[in-house]
This record gives sequence, structure tokens and C-alpha cells, in this order.
Amino acid sequence: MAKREQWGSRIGFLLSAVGSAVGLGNIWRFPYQAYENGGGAFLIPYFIAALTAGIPLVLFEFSLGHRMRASLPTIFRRLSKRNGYRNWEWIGWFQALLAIFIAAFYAVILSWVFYYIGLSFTGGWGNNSETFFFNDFLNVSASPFEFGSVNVIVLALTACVWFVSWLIVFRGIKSGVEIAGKIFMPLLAVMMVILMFHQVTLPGAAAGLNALFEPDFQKLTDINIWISAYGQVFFSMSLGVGAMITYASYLPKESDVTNNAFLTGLLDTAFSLISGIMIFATLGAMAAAQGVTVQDVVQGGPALTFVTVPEALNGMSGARIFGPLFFLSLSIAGMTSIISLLEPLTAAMTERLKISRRKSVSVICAAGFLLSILYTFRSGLLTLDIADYFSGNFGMLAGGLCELILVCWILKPDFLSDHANRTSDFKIGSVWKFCISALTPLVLIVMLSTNIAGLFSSSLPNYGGYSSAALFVFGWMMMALLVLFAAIARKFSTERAKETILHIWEEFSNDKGGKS
Amino acid sequence: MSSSALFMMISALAIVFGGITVCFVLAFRKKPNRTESLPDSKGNRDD
Repeated sequence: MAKREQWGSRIGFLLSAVGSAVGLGNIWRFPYQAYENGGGAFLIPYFIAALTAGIPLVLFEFSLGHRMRASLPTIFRRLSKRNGYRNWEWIGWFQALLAIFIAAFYAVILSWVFYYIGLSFTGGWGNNSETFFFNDFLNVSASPFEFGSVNVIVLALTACVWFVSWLIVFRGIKSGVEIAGKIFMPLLAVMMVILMFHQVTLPGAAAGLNALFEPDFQKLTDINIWISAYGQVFFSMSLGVGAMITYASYLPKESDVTNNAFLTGLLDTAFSLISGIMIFATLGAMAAAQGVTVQDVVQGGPALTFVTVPEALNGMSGARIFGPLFFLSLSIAGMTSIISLLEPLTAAMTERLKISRRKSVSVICAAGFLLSILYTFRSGLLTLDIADYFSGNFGMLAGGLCELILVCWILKPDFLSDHANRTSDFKIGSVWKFCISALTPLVLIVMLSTNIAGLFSSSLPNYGGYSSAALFVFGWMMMALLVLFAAIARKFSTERAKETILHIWEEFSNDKGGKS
Repeated sequence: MSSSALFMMISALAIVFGGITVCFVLAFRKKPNRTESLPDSKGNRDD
């Protein structure tokens, strides 16, 4: 049997796992979520969610990967078969394929970030950053079905993103992913701390920080705030796509998974807090410069990054230094996440389909790039928005829920806590089991059913104001295709299927040989 | 900046960075580079 790859050092694993968790969501999602949901008071449910769901779930995924030391499909196959259940391998394939689906639109967002790195040296977005982003740069069409032409700049930069990702993952865990983590993450931390300290010294920054941290304790009685906090924690820590499970499967046998899980969760939260301070200090300074309130300028998501921040940079001293630094930070946060999204399917193909790592990575990156092209058309921003919504609110939640149901409800999680306690300094027990067996599944079920009910409710408008047909094609159909591909992959990875394919191929070869 | 906002910000930073410090100290106190010192030389699965 070929030797399974391993991390070269604990710090290498930690930085790569934190790199997987820290992504664009920490920078553009967390600050807005906190602001919208009670400011400083949001931190209370957020920390509770991190302690009762985020870190326990990271620990669950680390323990599962470390205990089973295999790719996702093999893990779920072994767990179900060994206990006499039907083959649950498809869950692993679904998560691995979902990761590539997410990487496809993530790569396109990163291509925009790359473009903005160049623009930030000269303030190339001009005086009206909103018109520049939506009209001049992306030239967004009116509907997801109006594809229009391909944006050549976005296409070229997306190809660059995929090439860099391919280059890193192609080199393997120790020589590629780990080295990238060791270079990128300290660099990201230094850049974000520099940015944070610079932004808080700007005139008006205090008003921005007030808007972010001023607690509104009344909001704590609203159940939606708690759901938002659990959702933010879940999405922020790269859970439900198998990245953490796969990374942990490369840890040496005697690794302390519990401490690693705490460090990963806490470092991810630290990055979110630093981002929040940096972003809201910037918004405060911008509001002061324009003579308006922070409430008038605050936005979340891509609009924050590609409209509000450029606008803030226009009137800021040192913008030609701190602008590139901001977009470079964003690109690094995104790159480390994309790398981790490629690893689950790479490991699965290498192990279950017996394709070499290098071939697997090449095929995955080529396929991912082809899928990315869908988002480089004029309708790209709209189709990407739908894909992002469905992959996060349905795919990741369903993937996470399935793994918890299999391990915690159908089997028992004791084998994981026993394993973690054998190798770790912190001991876990009934509290952890309660968190992952009862609390987290319950929260995931509530979130998933709320999302589904919201989509099918006739009284509520469609998500984002999109037509039902657009949501069906770019959302539901994509999810259905992932399930279908997962089922096909499961079928093809069985010994019998491989034997049958080999048999057909031999017969075909013999016939060909006979005829010629 | 208001005192309540300042309190929330400092508390959040203290909790997070305090937690990180404790974990780092525990991780590297007794067994520095634990994963490096105990490599899995065979690479076999343990089940």
C-alpha cells in the first residue's frame, strides 16, 4: 500500500487549517452580521455558538479525519459498512464535489480581487466605484439567463487563480499545501494587523467602532440573532465540505486534535474580529469625510469590498499603500480557502478511483476552471450569487447534518471522544457529545428547514428577487447534479464496478485486436 | 468611542487572544513539535 502523505509539522497543519477557515466571509460577512444583529451584543451569541457548535464541530471533523486516516468517501463507507448499514459513501463524494462547486465561484470572486489589487495602486475605479464595479467592470446583465459575452479580464484572472491553486495542490501536502500555509498565513496576519492599526487612527474611526460594538441587548431575545450567530460560526469555519476532515487525515498518529481544534476555532474568530475592527474603522472614517452617519455607508458582501472600500480609499491618506494591502489580504484569505477546497476530492479520487494525485489535481482544476467560466459571463455576478446562496444554505448545511446524523445518531460518537482523549491534553466528554449529538444537529435542522420554508413560501419574495426559474436552474439543479455525480462516483468506486469497467475495456480491446 | 462599545471590543479581544495564548502554551509547553517528534513511519491506517 502506498504511504499516505503527512504534515511535516504541527504548525504547518495549524496554519493550513486556519487558512481554510479564514476566507472572504471573515472579512465581508462577519462585520456586517455583527452590525446587523445587535452590534457588541451579537458577540455574546457568537461566542456561545463558537464554543457550543463551532469548536466542537471542528473537533468532531478533526477527530473523524484523524481516527479514520482516509479520504471522505472511504471514511463514510467504512463507518457504515463496518456497522452493518447501507453504504454511506455518497456523503463523502457529495461533500468533496460540493467543495469544488464552491471553489469554482470562489475563484471568480478572487479574480475580481486580483483585478482590484492592480487598480488600487492608481485608484483605477474612479470617483464612482459603484458604477465602475457593476457597469464598467462586470457590465452585469439584467437577469441570470441573459448570459451576454465573457469578460476576458475575469476569465484570464480566473485561469490564474486555478493555475496557482493547481501548482500548490499538485506538489502535495507537505511540499505544497503546508508551505503555502506557512507563507500565506503569517503574511495575512501581519498585513491585517497593520491595516487595523492604521485604520483605527483615522479621523472618524471611533464612530465606526461604536456602530460595530455598541451593544443592543434587546436583540438577544430575538431567535433570529442566535440562528445568525450559529450560521456565521458554521460558515466561517469551513465545516460541512470535508476540508477539515481531509486535512486532519494527514496528521501523524499522536497528534493533539483537541488543542488543534480550539486553536483553529479561536484563530478564525481572531481574524473575524480584526477584520471587523478594520472594516468599521474604515467605514467610520469614510462617513466622517462625507459628513454622513455610518449607517448610511455600511454594506455587506461583495458590495462592501468592491464598492464601499474603494470609495473609502478615494478620500484616505496612504490609500496607494493600504488599498493594495487590503486587496492582497483578501486574495491570500481566499487562496488558502480554495486550496483546502480542492483537497477533499483530490484525496477521494486518489484513494477510491486509484488515480495518481497529480492526475487527480489536474483533472479537478481543469473541470473547476470550466465550471468557473459560467460565472465569467455578464450574468456571472447573479448566477454566482445564487450558487453561493444554495451551496452555503443547503449544500454545506445538509453535508454537515448528514455526517452528524451518521456518526452521532446512527453510530455513537464515543469512538471519536475516546480517540481524541487518547492523544490530546484537553479531555472531552459528555458536554462535547451533547453539543455535537443534540445541539448542533438541532440548530442545523432549524436553519435548513427555515431556508427551505423561506424558498417555498408564497408569501415571501424569492431570494434576491430572482425568478423561480433562475433559482431552479442555477440553484436546485446544481445541487441535484452534485447529488447525481456523488451517486455515480460511489457506483464507479466499488470493486465490482471497477472490475466490470475493466472487463468491458478488455473485451473492447480484444474485439478491436481481432478485427484489425 | 462609547465606554460600552469599548468594553465589548476589549472583552472580545481579551477572550479570543487569551484563549489562543493558553492553547499555544499548552501545545508547545511539554512536547514541542509533538507531531514532528512522533511521525507515523509506516503510514498504515490504524483500523
